[in-house]
Amino acid sequence: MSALKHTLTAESQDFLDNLRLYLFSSGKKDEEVKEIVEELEDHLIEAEKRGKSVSHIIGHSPKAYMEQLSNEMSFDFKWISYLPIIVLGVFAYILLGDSMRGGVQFTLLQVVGYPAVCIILVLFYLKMFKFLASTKLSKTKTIITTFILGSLPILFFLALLFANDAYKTPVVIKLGATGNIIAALVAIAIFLGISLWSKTWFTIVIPTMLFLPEFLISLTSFEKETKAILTISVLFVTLIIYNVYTFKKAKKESRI
Amino acid sequence: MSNTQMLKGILDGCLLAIINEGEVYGYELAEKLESYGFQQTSEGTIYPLLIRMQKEELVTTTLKKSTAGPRRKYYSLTRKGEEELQAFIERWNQLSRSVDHILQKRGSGK
Repeated sequence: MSALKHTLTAESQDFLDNLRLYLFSSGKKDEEVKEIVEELEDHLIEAEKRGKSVSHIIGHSPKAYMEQLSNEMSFDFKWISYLPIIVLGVFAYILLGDSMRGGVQFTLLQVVGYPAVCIILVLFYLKMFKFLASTKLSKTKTIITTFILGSLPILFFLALLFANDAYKTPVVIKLGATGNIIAALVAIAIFLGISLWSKTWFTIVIPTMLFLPEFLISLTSFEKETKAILTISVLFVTLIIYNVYTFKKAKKESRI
Repeated sequence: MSNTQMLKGILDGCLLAIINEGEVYGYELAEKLESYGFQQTSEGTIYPLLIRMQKEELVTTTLKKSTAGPRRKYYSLTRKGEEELQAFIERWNQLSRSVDHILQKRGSGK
């Protein structure tokens, strides 16, 4: 199969990659996505052998063509079950952070706000992936968009943090010393659980990546402010690196 | 009215008729369609239609290994597909008779 892929022009290959990403972020069934991409790949190979261009096959608007295909394909409801798991993962992340700093305490605004922010972000990301797959952006615009997408979660959570200070809502959950230790263990258990469930390493790798530096920095004898600045900078940099890395990986993996 | 709008629905029937001639795969189907004179539509338009026809159980597919490389999806008509083709032929004959009638009448009236 790989020998044949070489005969495809970059334009055709790009179209297939983008189609896969588009259908994937539209929540279409994996099996159906695979089938149609394979079928179109075969078609494009045959057509290119005879010197036809991509636009001869898909018309002049790749976006319109992707939409046409998407409209005929079924939505995979398995997708909806991912949302609670993502919310749970973020919850574990916040829980671990707070318990490490010794103060698990949630206000009503946070209890409602965190899941809401997660769901908004996930839906927004899916929309953006669809948009990026069906629109041709210049290199600069792609980099800017990736950067904005990468920093968006931080902005959202910071906004929630400020809102929480500005609007006093009642404290719903507050844990003591033992409670904090238990909370940390619960959070770690959730990370391990999601990792086992999804058969991926990232819910173990990311928390380690994020919390290990903070934990190590907290052991140093720097000033409180220096520690805070160090922690935030390390966090920001790792998040951007990770986002760029996963975005590239997602595009690359969609070729397999 | 544009050509594409006029083609909607008719293309479905034509695909059924071609598949009825014998098992075909996507590219072959597009080529046959073109050889019959459908050159204005882009080749890819058949795929959304095929997906829908498969969902409606008018066609079935079998995957076969091709000598060239990736598996190839072959289409053939189901019982329901054959019935739909018959219904299409009747509808088409009726329609084309009426259209012919109108056009000829107007032509001779001048």
